[in-house]
Amino acid sequence: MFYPEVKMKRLFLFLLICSCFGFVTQSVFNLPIPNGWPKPAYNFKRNPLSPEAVLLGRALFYDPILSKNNTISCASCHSQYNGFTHADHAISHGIYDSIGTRNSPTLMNLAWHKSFMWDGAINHLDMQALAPITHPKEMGERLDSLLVKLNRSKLYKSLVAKAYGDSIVKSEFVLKSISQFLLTLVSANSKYDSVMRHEADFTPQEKKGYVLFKNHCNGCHNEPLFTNLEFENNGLCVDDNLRDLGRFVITKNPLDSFKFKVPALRNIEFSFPYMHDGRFKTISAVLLHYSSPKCKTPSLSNLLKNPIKLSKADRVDLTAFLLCLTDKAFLFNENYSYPKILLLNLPKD
Amino acid sequence: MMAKFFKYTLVLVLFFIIEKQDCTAQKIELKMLMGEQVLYLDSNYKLGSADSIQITALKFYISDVEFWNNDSLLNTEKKSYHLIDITNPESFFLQFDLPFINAYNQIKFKLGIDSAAHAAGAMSGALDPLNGMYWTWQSGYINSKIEGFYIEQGVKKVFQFHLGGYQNPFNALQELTLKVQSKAILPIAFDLMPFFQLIDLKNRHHIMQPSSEAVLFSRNLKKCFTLK
Repeated sequence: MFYPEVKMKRLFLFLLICSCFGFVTQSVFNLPIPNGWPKPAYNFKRNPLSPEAVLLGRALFYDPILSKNNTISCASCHSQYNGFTHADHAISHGIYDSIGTRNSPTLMNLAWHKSFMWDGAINHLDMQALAPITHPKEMGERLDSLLVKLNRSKLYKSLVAKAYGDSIVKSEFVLKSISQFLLTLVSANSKYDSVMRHEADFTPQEKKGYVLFKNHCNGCHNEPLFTNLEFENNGLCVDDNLRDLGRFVITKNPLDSFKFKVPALRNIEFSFPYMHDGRFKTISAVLLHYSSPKCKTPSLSNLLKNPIKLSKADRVDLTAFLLCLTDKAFLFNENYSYPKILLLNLPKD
Repeated sequence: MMAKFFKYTLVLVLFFIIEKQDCTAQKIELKMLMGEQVLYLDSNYKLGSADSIQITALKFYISDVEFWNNDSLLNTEKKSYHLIDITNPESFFLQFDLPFINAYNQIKFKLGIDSAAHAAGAMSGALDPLNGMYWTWQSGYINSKIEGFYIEQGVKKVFQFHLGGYQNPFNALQELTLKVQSKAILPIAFDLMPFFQLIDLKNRHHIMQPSSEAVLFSRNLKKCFTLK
């Protein structure tokens, strides 16, 4: 037991000593939140962003070291020019040319998402990378083997030392740093955003398309993320080969059958093919589907109980608006690409 | 100046060390049993008259241990997670960052991981996914993992129970209360036999995802904690 003043003295002494040695501090930066956007779902307090950890995550994202035979990286199925999805692949191929069951989703504005994957199987961004890394058809690696590889790598030892001041590559560092890089992928500079900021104007056609969008699409693909982050059945017929029950697989609730996470529409111009199994190659095929959903099962979204009536001209106008969601500053942002220059002066393996 | 500084540091460090040793820390020692026998990995244990079982893996989480005197909470270590692993005898000794208070007469704890930690993101230590207690295809910790062989008339069959799930209606987390006599090293038995007596291994040998059965099996696992 100590009296308060003795305690205070001890505290003072402790602080004095600490200040003598100097704390090792990593630089911290805040993710810029676009004006008018909701509060992010991600808890940054548990994983404060630093340029060093973002770089570590970025290096890992582009490195096939994450896969068992060093052939597949995250970027293999998530390329920047497509809004971080897989160009022209309905369903992606992973290790040993294995074919999965679902379309690779876009990666953007993930700080606002509360679940991940088409069925919401993953509850936290930090844990997301574990799924593709360990999936036998994606990267086919084991977490323990991966950590052995990373701990043998001079590059990753040095990146981890810089980011976390630790000499060992731990799974927490790997997962949190990948999160950090993904969190920086914010797309908020499309023409739509410029119009909302009163810096540009829609063409008359785009304006008509925006009105149609607000009348027919905004219920699920609501602004500013262009997704309500929920799970919906949009009336697609189940693929006989894939037999994908969607959200039901996770909740086991029959009312969740054939529901999939509502995808964000930003950068839709480049994120084709569309839908959870990539069955539609064009935006026009998607819009045609919504005019007459083929399979009206009990879990069909209430908003689609009556088909969306769109004339041919409406579909053209709506498409013109959807192209306003293209964010070139995002798709060609050098901070999101393979960090070649930043890794130049680091130890090589 | 430097000499003075180092002297202060030395005194301070000693202070902390002495203070730590002043009070005895609370511990729990788990005795791993199969019926009347000590539980070892890969050993044969009789189950019923003719059949036997072998355990090849046994891991489970104990969390939020609380020390109570009747209705008053004396001591608790919030957000503490202990991973018990049959391959690591050190893990049978649960260490707490708590002093021994010689007045508790019951303990409460959870078998598994609370829902907040299930959705808190990447962590190290007991909750590191590296421990093989995390489902990568569907987020969530495996609260308890029991694997082995069921040997029926000389034929070996595998059983694997990965019990977990944190979302309703398949929340497999279990809360336990045990009446005890306070001790600095509190002995508690973990006897797997009641668990196996409650299930029909011939018909149910695999549980690998959250389900109503995983909840039921987790409830059965509570019966393994006794004071013998």
